[in-house]
Amino acid sequence: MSPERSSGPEKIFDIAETLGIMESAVYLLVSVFLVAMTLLTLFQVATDLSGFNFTTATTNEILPAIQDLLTTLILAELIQTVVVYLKSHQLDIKLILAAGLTATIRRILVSGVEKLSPADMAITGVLMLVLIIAIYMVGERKIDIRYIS
Amino acid sequence: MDDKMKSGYNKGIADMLDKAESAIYLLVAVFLGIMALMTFFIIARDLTQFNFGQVSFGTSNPNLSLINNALNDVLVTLIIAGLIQTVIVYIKIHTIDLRLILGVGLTAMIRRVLVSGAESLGWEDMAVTALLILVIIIGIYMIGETKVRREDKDFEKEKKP
Repeated sequence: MSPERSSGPEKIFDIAETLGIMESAVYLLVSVFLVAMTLLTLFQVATDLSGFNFTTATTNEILPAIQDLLTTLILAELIQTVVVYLKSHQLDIKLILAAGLTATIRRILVSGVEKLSPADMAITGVLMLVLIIAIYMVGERKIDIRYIS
Repeated sequence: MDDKMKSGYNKGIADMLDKAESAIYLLVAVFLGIMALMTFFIIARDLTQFNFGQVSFGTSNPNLSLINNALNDVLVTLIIAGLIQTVIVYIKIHTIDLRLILGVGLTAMIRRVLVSGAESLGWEDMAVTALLILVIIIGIYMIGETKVRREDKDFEKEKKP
């Protein structure tokens, strides 16, 4: 086999290796940012709760803090998606859909504090139905990246 | 970089993230606990304003609206309790129970129905609330025992020679 012919696949292999390193670096950065965002949301929750007035406060003042905490949970679910990907090289669709479902529940909680229009609420309902059907249909299926690549 | 080395890097990042995630859930649980205590304080404070000498005059009775408000507050506590339960389930078995999350949404919707007893909501609002409750119930029925479990089986398999 001539050197010219063997260099092609080797080059592709090198590119794949470099991309592999880049992928790990990207995931590391994504993780760092997700953790940083989570800490920021927790700080926001603490700020929300620090404004609590013991004589006049109502539970409606706690709802924004719950919403911020749900954002933390959404971020935690995304961190989990990254962990699953790093450990098994599989994209867990259900985890992503669960993050979406948490976001719609967060929107429902918003309706307890802010006045959402019926159209907004109806769209939230449709969105939730779509997510539920998706979770039901996806079942235990996962996208295996190893077989794709 | 060979596959083993890359897998080692990935494992390192994943382990680090695992620890960070556990710490985040712990902090979330602490905040939820504080919020639950706050709601209990609000309920107790509101209930102390109950007037035992008040004569009832139907829905205009201030005591009734006080109880209605307290009921609303209790539902917020139940929302928080649902979230605490979600965190506990995750910490114990690394599983997100979608029914618990939907349960939180259902409690929020029921709270909205209760509000409609005190304030007058438009028919569109009521119709949309009914639609959302229906969707959540369908969700709880369809999702059933489904839990979003984090599976590390493949990774364990890779580690074994």
